[in-house]
Amino acid sequence: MTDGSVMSNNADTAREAAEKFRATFESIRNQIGHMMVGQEDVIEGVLTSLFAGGHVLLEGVPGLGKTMLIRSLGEAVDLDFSRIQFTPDMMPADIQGTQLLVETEGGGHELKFQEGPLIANLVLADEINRATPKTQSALLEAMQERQVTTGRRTIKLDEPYCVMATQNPVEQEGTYPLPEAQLDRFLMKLVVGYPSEADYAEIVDRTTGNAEIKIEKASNGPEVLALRSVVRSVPVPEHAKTYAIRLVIGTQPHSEYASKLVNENVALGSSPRGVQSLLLCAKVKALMARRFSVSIDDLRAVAHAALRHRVMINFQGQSDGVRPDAVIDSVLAAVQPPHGA
Amino acid sequence: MSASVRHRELAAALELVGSQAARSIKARRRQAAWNRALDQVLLPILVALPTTLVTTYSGLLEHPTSPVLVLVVLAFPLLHVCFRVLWAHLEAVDPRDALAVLDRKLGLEDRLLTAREFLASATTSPFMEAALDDAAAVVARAQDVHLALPKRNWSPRVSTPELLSALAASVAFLMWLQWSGPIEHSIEASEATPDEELALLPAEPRREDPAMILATEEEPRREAEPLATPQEAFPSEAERRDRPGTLTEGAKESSGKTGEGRSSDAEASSSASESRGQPSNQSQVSKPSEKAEKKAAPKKAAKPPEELRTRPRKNDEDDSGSTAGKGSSKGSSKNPAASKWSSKDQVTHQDDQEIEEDEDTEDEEEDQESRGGIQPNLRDRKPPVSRDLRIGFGNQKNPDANSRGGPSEAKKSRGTASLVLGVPVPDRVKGQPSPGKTKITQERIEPRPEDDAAINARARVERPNPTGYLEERELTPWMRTLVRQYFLALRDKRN
Repeated sequence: MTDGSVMSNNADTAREAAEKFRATFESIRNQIGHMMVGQEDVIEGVLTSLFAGGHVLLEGVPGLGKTMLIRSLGEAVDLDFSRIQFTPDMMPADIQGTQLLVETEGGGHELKFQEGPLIANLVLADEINRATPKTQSALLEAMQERQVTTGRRTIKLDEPYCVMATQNPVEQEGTYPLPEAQLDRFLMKLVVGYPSEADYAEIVDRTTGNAEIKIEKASNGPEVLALRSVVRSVPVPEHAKTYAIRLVIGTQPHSEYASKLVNENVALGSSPRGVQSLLLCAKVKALMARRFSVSIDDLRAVAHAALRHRVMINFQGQSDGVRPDAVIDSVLAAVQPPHGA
Repeated sequence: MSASVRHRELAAALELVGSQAARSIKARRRQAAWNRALDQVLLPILVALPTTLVTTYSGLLEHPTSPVLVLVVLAFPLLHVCFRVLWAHLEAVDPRDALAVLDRKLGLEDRLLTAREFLASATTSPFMEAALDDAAAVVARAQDVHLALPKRNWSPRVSTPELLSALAASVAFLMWLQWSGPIEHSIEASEATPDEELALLPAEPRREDPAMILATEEEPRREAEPLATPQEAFPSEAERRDRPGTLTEGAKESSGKTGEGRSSDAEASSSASESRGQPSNQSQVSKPSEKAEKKAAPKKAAKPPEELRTRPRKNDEDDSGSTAGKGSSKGSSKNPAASKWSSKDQVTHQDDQEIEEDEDTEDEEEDQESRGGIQPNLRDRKPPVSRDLRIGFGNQKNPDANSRGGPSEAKKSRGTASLVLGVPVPDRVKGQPSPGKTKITQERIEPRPEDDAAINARARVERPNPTGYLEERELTPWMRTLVRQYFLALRDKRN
């Protein structure tokens, strides 16, 4: 350990950074709250994903405000926002961009690259499962490598870059379920449920009157980037790391920590991306809980959102109606923390 | 105060808190070990001790049970308890476990455990420093907290079913003792010297014991039963002779001459030769069959009964309308379609081939004359070139080749005939891998038109009315179970 005064200053710096993070997080949440009624967990999840540097998949029946939530976030954070409404006839060039023949001032013609909507900071991929696998796979490179390659041109995407996709679990006809490789690239999968009775009254009041709701900018791109760095600075103690790894191994059938439910009903467990996702989300959770390190409780709180889309239920599980959330519950019950069990 | 001093103080405080918590945890574990061990030994004692006492004093055992036996029954459970408690005493409590328990009890969200890990870590960061400061603020709370020691009372945790099953087991044991009786023999035998054992072994059961009397009366019967089985399996010559439908070797020989006791082989070959339209003569019938039997005696011994059963099928072949591939002179006038396809499997066995050799030569000569000259001798044709791409045989002949269809056992259907759907061509050499004789059967059937009602095409029109809301019926639980079982069974079958 180094000099004490330096350490004290370091601790103060960390406290200030954590306080700044909390303030910005709360501010953006409040702005979205002007537009969105209820759904606090979903809003927190979306912001967690934004600050953890991942992408988020929202699943819910139509009319619950998924698209509005992402649009509101785009307005609250001063970022380049674009929306793609996925359809079955959409091609990769429609979202990545393509060469267009344009007329020059002198009357001539030249080929000019027209950027697609994928090239932005915040991308709303609405009803992503309506696009064909060909178009869905065009998102893979953008989501993982933060770049878009079209023809011989590779475009680096500006940070912060975040894909927020929505999908409807009910209308499955004419849809193309996301492949595992694509699902694995989402940091979190959030399930949007119906609002409560009290929320309904507020929704009706806000949406059927003349009052115009305006969302103010609460943050911007550089600030989001700086706060992402703060999130990554949060240390993870050894016991929390061990527990996160065991949780992920616990989702894999016939592994050391797999429960009976997992062995019987899971075809494919989480990949190592699941551990990364768990720890990044837990870091945000720890900061929001005014702590400076990740705890077991943080990991348990984010386990469902971070792992539910990485667990593939097998045929027997589907016929028994086993949901991924039930599998995660069983994993949380089966896997004990390394100390104090 | 410098950070290093604060860290030392924090480390000392964590050590103190951890050791206090560890003591409490150790006491808890000790108590839990006691309780668990007592629970585990309770049931065996409940069963073993009364059973031992009952057997000792009820007279079921003639000699009283040795005190050593009682001690052994009690000693094992007591040893088990001692071992468990000793283990609980010796087992060290990890300080990290103690801090984790304190964290959970005080709702500190792993602050103490994390601080201990960060203090032991070689690297540091501002957030680790902040986490240590956090822990230092709450460690004082942990110092004031003492984990409550468990109460030292023990209540047996033996469930009623366990108790009932244990009692039932002891009653069953006693009943078994009552029924089996002479346990003293085994005890005596185990304690006896080898000489005494020899003396004990042939000892007659005492006549006054009714159970033993019954046992001795039943013994000869039990011994006689297994002896009866080999007698049935291997009856004597006299018995076999007495049995209806069986013939001795001598009888067979005599009946072979008279034709009365012919074996199935003889019958088959004789019927085959009869079916060829040769004069039915007693001596002519039996002679070829005997010759054939002599020739193929070692082969026939190994032949399965199925082959013997298939012999009469030769009659069917000859009766069928096959043209035998060597002119129509041998074909019968019967309708080929009238007999089954199975009867037209034109397989000629090796034995039959030898018998028919002279006939075939004559037939071929007749055929060549009818075709207008000498034809190539098809008998001497060589096997087709092997199309097998396997490495290893080189220019040598493939031992698996059957001289007809390459190395494969069965001759392949090929050519136009194999392309005609619905016309089965019996183009296979069945049974033996050696070169077989193939006959082609041509079925003369005129194609017949089939009447089928014509469907008039019509244009599809729009639905006159909207379909409306189509209700999706919810499956009842039993239907869901049925569907699930069906698909699981289907899947298992595929696997």
